[in-house]
Amino acid sequence: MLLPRFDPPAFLEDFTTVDQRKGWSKLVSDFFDEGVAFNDGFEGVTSQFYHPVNTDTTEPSAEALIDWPAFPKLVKDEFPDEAEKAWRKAEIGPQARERFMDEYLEWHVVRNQQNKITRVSFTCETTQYFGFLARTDKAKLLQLYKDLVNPAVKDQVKLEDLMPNNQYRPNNKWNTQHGAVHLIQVNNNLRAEVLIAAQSCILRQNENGSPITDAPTLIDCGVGGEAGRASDPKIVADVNSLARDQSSITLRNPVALYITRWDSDGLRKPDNSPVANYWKLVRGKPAPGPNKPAMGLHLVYEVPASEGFVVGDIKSGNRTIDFGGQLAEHINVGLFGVVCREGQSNNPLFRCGEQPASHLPLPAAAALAGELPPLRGRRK
Amino acid sequence: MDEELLNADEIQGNILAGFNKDHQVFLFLRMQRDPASITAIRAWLRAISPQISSLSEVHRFNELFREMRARLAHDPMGFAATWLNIAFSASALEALTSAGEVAQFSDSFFRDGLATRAGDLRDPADPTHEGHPNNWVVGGPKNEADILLIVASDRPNALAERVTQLKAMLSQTVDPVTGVAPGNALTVIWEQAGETLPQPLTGHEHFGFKDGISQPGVRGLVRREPPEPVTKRLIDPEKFPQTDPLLPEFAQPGQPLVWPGQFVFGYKRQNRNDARNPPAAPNDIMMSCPEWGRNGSYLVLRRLRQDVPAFRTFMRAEAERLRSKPGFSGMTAERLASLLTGRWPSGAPLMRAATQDDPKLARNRFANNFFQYVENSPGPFALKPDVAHDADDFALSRRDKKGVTCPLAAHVRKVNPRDTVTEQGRSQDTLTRMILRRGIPFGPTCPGELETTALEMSSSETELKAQRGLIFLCYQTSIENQFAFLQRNWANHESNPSSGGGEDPLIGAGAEANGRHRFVEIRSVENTAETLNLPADWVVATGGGFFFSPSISAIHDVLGRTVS
Repeated sequence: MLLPRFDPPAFLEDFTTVDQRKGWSKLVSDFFDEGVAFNDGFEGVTSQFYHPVNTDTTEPSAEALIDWPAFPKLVKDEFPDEAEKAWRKAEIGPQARERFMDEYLEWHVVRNQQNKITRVSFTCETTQYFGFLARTDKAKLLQLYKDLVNPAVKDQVKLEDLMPNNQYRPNNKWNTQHGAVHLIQVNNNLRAEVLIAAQSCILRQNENGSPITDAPTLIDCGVGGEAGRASDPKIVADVNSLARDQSSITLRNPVALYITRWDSDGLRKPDNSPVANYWKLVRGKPAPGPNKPAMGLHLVYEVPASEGFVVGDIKSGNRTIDFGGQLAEHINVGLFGVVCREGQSNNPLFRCGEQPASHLPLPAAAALAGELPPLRGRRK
Repeated sequence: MDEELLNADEIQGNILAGFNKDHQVFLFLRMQRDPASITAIRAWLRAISPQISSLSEVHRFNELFREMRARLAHDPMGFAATWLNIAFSASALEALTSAGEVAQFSDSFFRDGLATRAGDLRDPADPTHEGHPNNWVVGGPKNEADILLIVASDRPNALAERVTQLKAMLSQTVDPVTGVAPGNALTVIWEQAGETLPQPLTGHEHFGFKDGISQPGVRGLVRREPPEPVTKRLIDPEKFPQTDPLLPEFAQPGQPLVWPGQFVFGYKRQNRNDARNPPAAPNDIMMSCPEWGRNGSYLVLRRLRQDVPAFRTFMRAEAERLRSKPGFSGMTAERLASLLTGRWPSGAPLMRAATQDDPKLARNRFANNFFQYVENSPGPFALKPDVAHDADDFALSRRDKKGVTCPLAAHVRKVNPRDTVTEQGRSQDTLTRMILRRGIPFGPTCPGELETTALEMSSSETELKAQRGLIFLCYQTSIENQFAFLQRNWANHESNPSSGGGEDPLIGAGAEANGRHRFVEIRSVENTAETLNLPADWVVATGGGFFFSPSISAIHDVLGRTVS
């Protein structure tokens, strides 16, 4: 069956007009067009990556969860035995978030006067979504910002800060110093997500003709991304494996990045009893049942005032929660694929480095936003 | 061979070689911490360090034992050894050295201790539960062990004699300066016996499944002249050169080679991103410990009580329920238990024996561990000509991404996902998670069997409810990234490492924590799926500890040092 349109992430209800719904669907649709064109651009290929509004999802079909740990692996690997140094690097220091939180989850920490953490907010919403709201419903944009930034300062948020010269500025102070409203790391964007999946559908071969199955090699061969992360190789490995099954592959509606799982294992109150559930899913959909992933978009970790202590008093082992990254270690982030028509594709394999013969169409809607978000790239 | 030379006289023998004894005793000791006691304990350590069994000795014995057994076709009579190893808690090390030195052990799990970290492993949160550290027989907040002695022997009599000897030595601990024995400087707070189960369950654990089949191989030499690797290399390098750098190098089919720094401090470690080469300097050598930690290893011990009657009851009832579900008609208790384990009771892997047990496969040690999950298995590896073996002509494992042949959350698949690209992004990362397991069962076998209730009906309540289970031991150089990772990030996780399938039904914890149940998904060849609701943990931690197993000279020169 055909998907009628792309819905907003997690079926959010921010949109109030038909035009908005159509506009968002078009924005996402353009990325899928680009992905399909990328594949079709290869000689002899009928794209296995498909656009679910234009092309049927036939039965039997299956969903594929593709998820990975939220704390950046590149940072973790720099300090294999010194977790605290890794936590510190990921979030302390100038532009740490923009430089290091590159697994599609970013977070912001609020501390009290004793420098103890009182609140951590985690987001995997995209600039594309908020940029779209900026173009279509400024009032909603402002409202969401007020809901999602540090509550202590939310009344100070002004539209002019978000949209100087009437142009949305993703790296405005409310989304950097005072909150993590949406992703700003240059690689964490919706186009990158869709395209890395699309590009992973191209089958590659070694000199001897055997298929390349190793994700880091595929990344170097032309998929893009950074092999040292968890997200990119995981997405590439899983999608390319499905492509090698000769399946048709797309992303499940609603298309977004999602916080799929989170837990409180090992976290204890100051009196050493296990913590209660202080996670609050502020935006997105909770898991539909046990043993199922969620469609989380925005998570906040904060202790209710009635408990008498703050996040920074919570213990993990014999230390306290001093970094948001310690909580990020309890989170998985991911996306959902859809697979069908297994065994029915018959595309050729390409050598490393080969690119499509024809020119990619650039997504019009994204171009409207003033800037085309980049594809997944290496860490700089 | 250009692998590192291991300091085989320094490394304790149970770590890389493994005692492999049918009879073991674990003595958990408490140290008094007043200065006179500490002095006496140090004297005791100096006295006992020459008695600690080294890698060199244990390795040579094991090799000779294997050679003789191969020649005789049975265990060599009269050829026996009795071994001793020792390990210390972080708290004990602090008392014997200093807080500053112990702080140099970077592993926070080790420094915090098991009782503090039980919640991370999802041990029960309810303080009245048997599995809550407050109720542990040893290792809880009030009965933490400072020192662990592992005594192991081929002969029960020799074992008993040795244990008696050691206990006598404890009470003789004497301050060399004052000549006074400060009474209880060292006391045994728990004595735990472990025994290989009697036939027909020898080599099996209490649920009935063959245990300890798969262990990582370790790179490195125990000797240079002539070169002797610690893990025998049985693959024919000419017929099967293993040149693909993206794949692990195997010592034998199913046994990947891992750099020794994953298990012993002071050596090259395994690379999360590369199956063959260590990470670039300065992260290439694992030495996140004080200098005297070199040649040492962390030991995790968990006394796991197994509720055999509950396990069997569940399997029978659930198998009956499943028989009426499409795709699962014909389900038996044994098949269900095997689906959840990932192997049949004989040890034959589901991936090569999909519908019924295959004892012949299980007896072929090169076929029994040669399989993978996601892609079709390559053909059997060519072994060296002098390696006696039967042909591997069993069905090769075929791709099983969806978890039909072997459920995604089956125990062996959870803790060793092999060629699966896990949530970490690469299958090579899995090599850095591996542990060396040295466990042994405890307690009498449970009467009865899996399929029928007949024998159980005629057994006494006492027999059924007796304390039995597994003394689980493993060695690694990072409790956080190895043992605890396997338990927390994989076994207890609903989707890691295979993007779905539920929690590990055998060791995944959390049935009681926060009221959560555990769920496991099984799939049929007809593409139907059933989600099993597992209401109770069949495996409950009832004791244990995180220890450090130092080099033999560190025991003598550092922990046992004479201080003026």
